[in-house]
Amino acid sequence: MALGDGSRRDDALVALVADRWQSLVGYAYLLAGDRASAEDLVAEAVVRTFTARRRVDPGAVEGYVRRAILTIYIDGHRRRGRWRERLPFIATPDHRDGPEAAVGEADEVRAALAHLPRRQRACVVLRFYDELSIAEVAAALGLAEGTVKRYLSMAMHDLQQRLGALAPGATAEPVLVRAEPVATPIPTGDLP
Amino acid sequence: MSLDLHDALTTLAATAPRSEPPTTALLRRVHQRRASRTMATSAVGVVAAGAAATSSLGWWPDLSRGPAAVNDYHATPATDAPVPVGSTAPWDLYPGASIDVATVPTRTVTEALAALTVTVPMAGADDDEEQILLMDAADGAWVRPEWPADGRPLQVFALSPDGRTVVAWVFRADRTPGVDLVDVASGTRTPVTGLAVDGRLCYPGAADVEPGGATIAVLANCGLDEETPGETTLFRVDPDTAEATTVLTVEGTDLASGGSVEYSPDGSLLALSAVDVAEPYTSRAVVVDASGAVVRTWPAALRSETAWYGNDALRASELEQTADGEWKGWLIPSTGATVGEVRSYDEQPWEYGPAPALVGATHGQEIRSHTATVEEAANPGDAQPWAFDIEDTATGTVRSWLPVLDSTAPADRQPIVVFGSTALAIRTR
Repeated sequence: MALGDGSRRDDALVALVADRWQSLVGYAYLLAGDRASAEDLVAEAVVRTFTARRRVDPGAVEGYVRRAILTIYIDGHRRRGRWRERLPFIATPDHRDGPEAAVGEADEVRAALAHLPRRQRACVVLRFYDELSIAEVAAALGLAEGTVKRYLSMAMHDLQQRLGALAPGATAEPVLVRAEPVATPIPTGDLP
Repeated sequence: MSLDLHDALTTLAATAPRSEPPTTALLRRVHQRRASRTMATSAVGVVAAGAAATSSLGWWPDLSRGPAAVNDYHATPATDAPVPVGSTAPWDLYPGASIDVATVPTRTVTEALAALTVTVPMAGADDDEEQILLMDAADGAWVRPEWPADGRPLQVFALSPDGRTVVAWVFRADRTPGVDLVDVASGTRTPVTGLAVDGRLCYPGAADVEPGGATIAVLANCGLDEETPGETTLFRVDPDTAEATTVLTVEGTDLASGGSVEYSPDGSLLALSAVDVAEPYTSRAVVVDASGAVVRTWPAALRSETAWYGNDALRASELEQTADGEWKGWLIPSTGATVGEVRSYDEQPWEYGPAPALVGATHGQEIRSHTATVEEAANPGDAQPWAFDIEDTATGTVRSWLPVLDSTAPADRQPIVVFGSTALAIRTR
């Protein structure tokens, strides 16, 4: 049964954030790199998912939210300004990472990811965290497979520069061969 | 040693700083967003030509599939033929099928019969763009008014009885929400001032124009911030000066799910709806007299997306939840109309924003809820579950109603009709 009325949607929202909030924040954290932005991403994704006009399959609602997180992130928050313009009374608290922030290797990974342009970073998360195929990553981001390969290649080159050698599972992939020529400048930053 | 990137990312995600879910804030944002969309579809100010009333418009034009394809999920056949302006049939439905927004002409409108916010998906954008359409009194055609571009989104709250002023929700340049009175002919916007309580920001959620045009009621959330829900505040606005004065505050409620405010047809009463700020977010309805005194309040016995829709938009209302947990909508139309049962929401592609339009509803001989008739309600002995009698059942129309229940017992589920009227016509000529 799809979530068709307000009560059910509210119940589903409450259940989702109760059970999966931290997991979703963790996912967003990979993309956003800091807690405040991650929370912001998840919150907006949840709101977007639960106000969507489409019907929402409760069994797949987390997937909708994760996809929304990715979309909002890739979108560079450009349109979030407009969204927030409409909700000026809902300010995002100025959270700051406290001493509980990740340290050690995870922190190094986070720092390395932070240097990646937005779409390269999204490609890395989808490819190596969500373990999607190149084709799936391309579909998720609305990019050509070749573009995804180039992004991943450049991202892996950058990560290796910062983190050292990566496991063969990552670097052995043909798509990650750094020697692949890049014929045209690779756009970075926000999507148009 | 080489780094396994999947493991590293998994660890990084797992070590993200702990975060408590802002459940209440999220619910509020979701409700506000829904309310915003409901506003775009339900806030249809319809004025009638003479004694005629035209309505429907309870849909959300879907522009993503070319010409608006709406009303495609009705249980009953659609009545596509427009009702001629001047028709005396009070509840025939105005062109119910569609408006091809893409082909709506742009022109100056001196006097409007109806105002409608449509939401147009923007190519490549996740958000939509609101546009206002007017039904030109000159010929009954939907047109896009020739208003100067402003860039600030407008959404229709109401249309003045003379058809010359749109009461609209707007975001101002300083990013504060407000209400503008928009001159239909020129598009000139006059900001309503005084929509504040103790300096706190007020977020308008609904408005209605008194049938005589003398005042405008604005319902707003005041004092909202991330942690604090607002309080529902009713303002009265002088249409000549655009100055608002506070009438009352309904403490402990906000407009999370989209409050409603509506004048009785004679302008003597106002009914408003709001939602408790605390769980289980009970809907409340309040009727206020001309002095601002509360005549009656009710807690709703069920959770409802919106406590009440006016018949101006001819909406379904969530009146009943069956034993199977399904929601059923019921229409209480005007003169002599039988109740139109909307199909269970689970049987139709119900989505937020559009409420089922009831095109094709039969207009029969009585006004009836699923358990009682207005005639019965007019009898004091049967009036208990009803808030107001319909005084003139011979010609009476119900302009709006309040689906508030006095009991959760299924046998007692009876909606309360709030306003009866001898004519739906809002505009007087």
